[in-house]
Amino acid sequence: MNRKISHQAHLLKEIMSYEFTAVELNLFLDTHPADIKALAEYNQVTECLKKLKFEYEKCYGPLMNFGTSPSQHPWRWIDEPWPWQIEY
Amino acid sequence: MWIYEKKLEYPVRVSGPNPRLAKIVLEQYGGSDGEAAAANRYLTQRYTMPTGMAKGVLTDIGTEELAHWEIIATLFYKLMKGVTPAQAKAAGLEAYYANHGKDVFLQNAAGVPFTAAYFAAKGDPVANLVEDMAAEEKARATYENILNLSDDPCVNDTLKFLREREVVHFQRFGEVLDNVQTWMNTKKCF
Amino acid sequence: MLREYNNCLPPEPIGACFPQARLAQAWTPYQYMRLVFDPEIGLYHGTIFPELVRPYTPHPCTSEW
Repeated sequence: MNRKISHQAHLLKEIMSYEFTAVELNLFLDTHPADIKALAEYNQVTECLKKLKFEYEKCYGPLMNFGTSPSQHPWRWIDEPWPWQIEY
Repeated sequence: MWIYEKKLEYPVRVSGPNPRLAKIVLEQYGGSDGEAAAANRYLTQRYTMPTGMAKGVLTDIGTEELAHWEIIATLFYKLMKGVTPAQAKAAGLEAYYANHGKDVFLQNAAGVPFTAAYFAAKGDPVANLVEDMAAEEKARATYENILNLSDDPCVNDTLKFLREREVVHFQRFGEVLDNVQTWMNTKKCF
Repeated sequence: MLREYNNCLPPEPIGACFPQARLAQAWTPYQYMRLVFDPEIGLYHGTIFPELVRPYTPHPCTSEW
């Protein structure tokens, strides 16, 4: 079955793939702190991720709270859907 | 401190309501080798690790395990969506439903509530790290058992992702063990 | 009684192939990063490192256990 996923889910999947790459490189760098190539990749992915999250947050509100991302009015942190409610 | 990120680490899809499978995936929510046990094991052991690398890897993998714990909860939540009390009963979830409704409760597939007795903190970095490596293998084996019992290809997709993470974490803990063992063999205390 | 060496084993000291490995302790070889998957492919595999991809295939003997 070919299902059509929402724009929100589409953006989230893109963020997931970049953030997952960052998680992997982060863990790798933890045990290989002198690997300059891995570090360059990590910093590059971090930049891409920042842009993707900025785009997402413009449409769907903050991905992170406690001062990490600003919010539009009214306070959008509590907007649904929460992660477990989203259809992918 | 920790900051919540309002997204899953990996997408969760299910083909439809499936109380039988929902009950099974609870093994990785509140079971002995589940994600809650993993997160608490690593985040408890990190304080007394001798090297920055060991403290860092336990912090980061412990944090990733919390994201996996959320993925399992999401699997349960979605698999129980639309399930009627009669269907829950037919799937052997009668007692569960009586106590918890459709809430995700910290227990294993057999209904045993979660306990800190599932993981160790021995005050010895080598003993702790070898336990962590074993924990990754036990979690991998549990995912394989659940894959053998599952009839939902969408759920399998998520389970396979989580299973592969156990393989990667094992490699990182192996590297940390080498780092800690080298530190112990060279460090002189006066 | 101790024998000089076991006929079944090569006479080199144990650990010759893996100099970092010591008896009676666990040892995992360090990973060296080569090529990594693109983000989307990495997420699909559950790792960005091709050398760590270990998909589950049930062992043919498992059904007999």
